[in-house]
Amino acid sequence: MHYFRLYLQFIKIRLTSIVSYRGSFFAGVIAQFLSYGAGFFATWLLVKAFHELNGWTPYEVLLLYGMNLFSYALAAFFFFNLAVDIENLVISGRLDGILVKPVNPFLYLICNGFNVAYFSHISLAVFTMIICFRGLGISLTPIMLVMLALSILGAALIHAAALVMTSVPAIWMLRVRFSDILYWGMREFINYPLSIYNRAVQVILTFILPYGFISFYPAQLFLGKEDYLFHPSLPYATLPVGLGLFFVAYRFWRYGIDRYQGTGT
Amino acid sequence: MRVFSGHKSQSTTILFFTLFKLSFIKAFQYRGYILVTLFSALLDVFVRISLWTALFRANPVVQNTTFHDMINYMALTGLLMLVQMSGVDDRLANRILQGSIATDLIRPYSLKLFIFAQTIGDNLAHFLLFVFPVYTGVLVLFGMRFPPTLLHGLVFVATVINGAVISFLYYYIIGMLPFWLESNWYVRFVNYAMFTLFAGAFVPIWFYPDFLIQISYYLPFRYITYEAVTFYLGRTGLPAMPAVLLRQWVWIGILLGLEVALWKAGQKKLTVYGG
Repeated sequence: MHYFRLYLQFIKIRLTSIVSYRGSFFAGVIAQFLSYGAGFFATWLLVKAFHELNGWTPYEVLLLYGMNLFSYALAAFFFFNLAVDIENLVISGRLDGILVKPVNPFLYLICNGFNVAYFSHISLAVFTMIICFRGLGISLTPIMLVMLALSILGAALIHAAALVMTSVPAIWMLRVRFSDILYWGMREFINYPLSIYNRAVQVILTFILPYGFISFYPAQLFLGKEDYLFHPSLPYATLPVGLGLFFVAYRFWRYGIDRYQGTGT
Repeated sequence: MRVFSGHKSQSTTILFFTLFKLSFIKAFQYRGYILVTLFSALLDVFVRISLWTALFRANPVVQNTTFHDMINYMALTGLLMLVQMSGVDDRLANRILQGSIATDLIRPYSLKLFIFAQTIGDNLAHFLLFVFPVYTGVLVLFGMRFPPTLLHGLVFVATVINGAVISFLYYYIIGMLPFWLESNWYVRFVNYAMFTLFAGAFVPIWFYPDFLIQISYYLPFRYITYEAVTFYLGRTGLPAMPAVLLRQWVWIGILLGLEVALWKAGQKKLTVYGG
């Protein structure tokens, strides 16, 4: 409850900052909407020109984009700044100040890092998913809607776990950004059905870096596909995978903070 | 500095090559960065090859295009990143936003040439380290096309050079926007959208519905690399090329005029807060 009130305060401050830079904020929202929208539209046009991608119709492929963006935006709302700002916090020594505050540093950073720019991503993602379900003539039953919400929650936790984990090397002042590439580079893979890749990539994206659970596996529930690849239970596994990964990521982050040395500034 | 003494055009050349060398050396400094960027470039190409393989699995020829066409299209478009002058806009915009433009305006060199040299240096380093190895690898693996005659080759080179000029002017104009805007971080998103849709950066324009193809003719983006690549692949015949080159020159004229006008207006508008 205490943290919740704190969080609301932080959000209020952030929203005030938007009001001071209204023009720039709305220009940014529109620009980001356009940029993701153009990518979605180009992919849709491409698959439409070929009629299908490995048995997936244009709207089905677009649904993967929508689910991926929706869950990413949810995670990035809270965790993007945590992942990106940590390096500066370490270098400038401000992390030391945060560590001695009487709040959990992880929660403090999340509260403080609320990133309002993701409104545009979420609206585009919702818009895209509605277009897809309409285009496919699928009307979601209440149970399916709940499944969709749970899948997106799980997918957001997977994204969040990845963002949290990639911030740990920065705490140790390791400038090598392999972790970033693992995340930012691999995200491109899941815009298309996992079934277009060779077996090795499928194994990696299911069992090692389980990005397949962000959109490919859960989408099968709503599309009635049988591209299960490994096991028919996998489309239901997104939430447990997300919870598990996020727990691991949080432990790893705490471990990272425990071994934080500071820069002496 | 001694470099700037002597004949003007000679010193400009020396300045150009000095800057060019510096940005080149800088890019080679970070070995970890090189490895990581190379790895992500490889991942990117891998995803796209998998995508094209899957798309052509059902039909080997779609809209007169084969898998081999698409691999060459992808690799050529990638290699021509060398003449894409992205980076020009940020360099100019940052100078305006941070106010260092004030000193640039009184220095005895052309700011445009300065930014051009820096950009070319960075691009060439990026090209040699990442773009060239990855895409020549792809072309060696899947088979590369060559122009049928020397004339084809020369026309291709001319189209590429025109495209580079268009790209430079476009980004230079975009870089001037901070004269009128308080912040410009979102401009890159609009650029990305434009290049995705109208430059054929990812999906070739010929796969588009007709109305989008029509729109693309009224924008400069397709004249940067797309026209050169479609000609290289033989989709545009030699007889159609004079018209393409003419359109490129028209765009160069339009952009040059716009650039001069905006630069004049911008200098009047410029306010640099003291410090």
